[in-house]
Amino acid sequence: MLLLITNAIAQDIGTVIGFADSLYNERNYNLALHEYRRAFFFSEDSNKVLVGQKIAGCYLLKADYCMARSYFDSACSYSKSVYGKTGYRLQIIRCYMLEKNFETALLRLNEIGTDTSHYYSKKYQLYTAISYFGLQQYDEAFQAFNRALDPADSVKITNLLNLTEESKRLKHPYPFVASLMSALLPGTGQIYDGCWVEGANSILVLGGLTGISFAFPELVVFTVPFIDRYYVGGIIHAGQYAHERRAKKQERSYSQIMTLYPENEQLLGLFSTRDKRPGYRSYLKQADTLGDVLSSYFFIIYKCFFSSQDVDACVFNPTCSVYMMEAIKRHGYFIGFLDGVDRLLRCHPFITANDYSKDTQTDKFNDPN
Amino acid sequence: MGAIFISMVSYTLFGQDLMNYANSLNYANYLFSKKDYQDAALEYKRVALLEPNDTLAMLRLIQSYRLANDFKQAHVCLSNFFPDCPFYPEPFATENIKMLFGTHQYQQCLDDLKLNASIDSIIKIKYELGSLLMLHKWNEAKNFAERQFIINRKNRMLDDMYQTALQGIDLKLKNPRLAAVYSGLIPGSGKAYTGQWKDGFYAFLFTSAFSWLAYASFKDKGITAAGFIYGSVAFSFYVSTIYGSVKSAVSYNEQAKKRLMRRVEVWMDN
Repeated sequence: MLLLITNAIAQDIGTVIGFADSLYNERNYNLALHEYRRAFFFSEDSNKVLVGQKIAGCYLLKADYCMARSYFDSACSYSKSVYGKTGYRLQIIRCYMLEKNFETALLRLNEIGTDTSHYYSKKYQLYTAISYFGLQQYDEAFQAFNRALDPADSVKITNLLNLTEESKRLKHPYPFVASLMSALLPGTGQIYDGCWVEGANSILVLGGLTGISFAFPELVVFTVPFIDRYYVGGIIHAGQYAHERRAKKQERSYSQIMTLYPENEQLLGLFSTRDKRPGYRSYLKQADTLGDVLSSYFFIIYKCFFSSQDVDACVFNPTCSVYMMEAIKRHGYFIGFLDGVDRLLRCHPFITANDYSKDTQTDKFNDPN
Repeated sequence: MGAIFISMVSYTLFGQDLMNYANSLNYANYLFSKKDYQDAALEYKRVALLEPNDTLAMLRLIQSYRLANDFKQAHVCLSNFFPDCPFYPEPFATENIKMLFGTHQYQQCLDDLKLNASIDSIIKIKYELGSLLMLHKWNEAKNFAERQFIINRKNRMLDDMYQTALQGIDLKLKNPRLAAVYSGLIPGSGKAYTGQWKDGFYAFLFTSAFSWLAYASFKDKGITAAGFIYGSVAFSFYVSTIYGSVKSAVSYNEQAKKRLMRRVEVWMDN
């Protein structure tokens, strides 16, 4: 009877892994990880390969690629089969690719070499191709993409050849050309990138400021620094828009290429570009009174037509305009306005790390409201 | 039937039950040593469930929650383990004091320290002095430290805290009203008074430049829109600088106190 009870409640490694598997299938990755890690702690070396792989899988789904790499690495070190070791090494490379660290991915691929099984050889070629594609070395990338396909599959090879032809336009527009054009004639670089509105905006702002300088000569001391900022800002933005356009083209081309490799769907979103522009309209949505609506419109117009043309001049995080909007929201119009103007007077290039703490990611000084 | 019995016996003898008390405790201790306090807390909870009389596991459970900054759960565990108990026995009393200090309940921490006699004297001195300093009771902290010097003269940490209390007494705070008056008289001078020389200079430069522009415009062209625009900007800068000077003085005082409090926190962590 005692034996029966003991066996009924006892949980061996198999039971714990089974329970973790069920949690994993329910997408409860945090709890699954806890159970897998327990199994990993008590497992013998031979079992650590399987459990380590499962833990790495959980971390991959949690987008913690660094931890996933470390567990794939331990699975690789515990694995005794050469075939298995290659598989784990490729998984580690996949983690590097997901981290967009394509240089390291290529270095690790060179360590593996091509002397592997047919399945891993195709995977090796595909990962090499994606890494080169990420580094924008398209010739090498398409050669590797070609090698990753089955030579007998003529339809896919023809499709890839067509995409190779289209890839010649992936490097267009050239950021240097766009910046140079904006330097010679403000706004033209943006137009070259296909951003007509931005180009016209740049011409209008710079033209307007020059006009004000002529109309009010005593204001030249204040207008010239702004003309300088918007001019330099136009050059920088022209280059940035070119980069954005190229990234979008790269994303489109990549998603077309990956339709030829349907078994690698986990790498599909590797080059997805997200719209990084902040949603300034949230202030308008939250506006209750007429004053709020007017100040929100004023803010949006400033952000869209003036700030968008400027260099990254504000030394603070959040920027002075956002700070003023937040201050108005928090303290009302009068105090909020005074707080905002005071912030403008504090925003100068002589601030040091002794005055404010610095955000290492944005390289800006923290000054929350 | 015999085969089943033999397999059950062999499983019981050789099979490893990962969830039993010994293995759970082993794994929990491993997680605790790796500073994975959240997972360790989960494991110690299982251990406490399997063996409710394991006081050390309960202590580790509370410590795990505290070190994982889950003070609420730590307090719940402590209350559940000692229901209707006015004073916790050692070492749980120390844990309670650490939790109170961690949740910034300094006055409660002082009260508990005074009432609970079971707490170790060194811990008592450390947390009483720390709480007094965190409450900015500089004179009380100084007197307390001086009393302790009679018993333990060469305690370096005590000396550090004594110096902090002295610095707290000598802390020269800036008067926000005086900063406002300064900036009212000379724009930006209030900010310079609070140590922000660069901000003060900028405020002076822009306020005076726009004031001069307004003056020049009214003088040369009479009453024009441009003059009013320059004047409005200058006035905005002037009033904002007065407001900013007050804010700067308040911020200076907060920072000065925070610097001392940070020293206390570092001392307490050690």
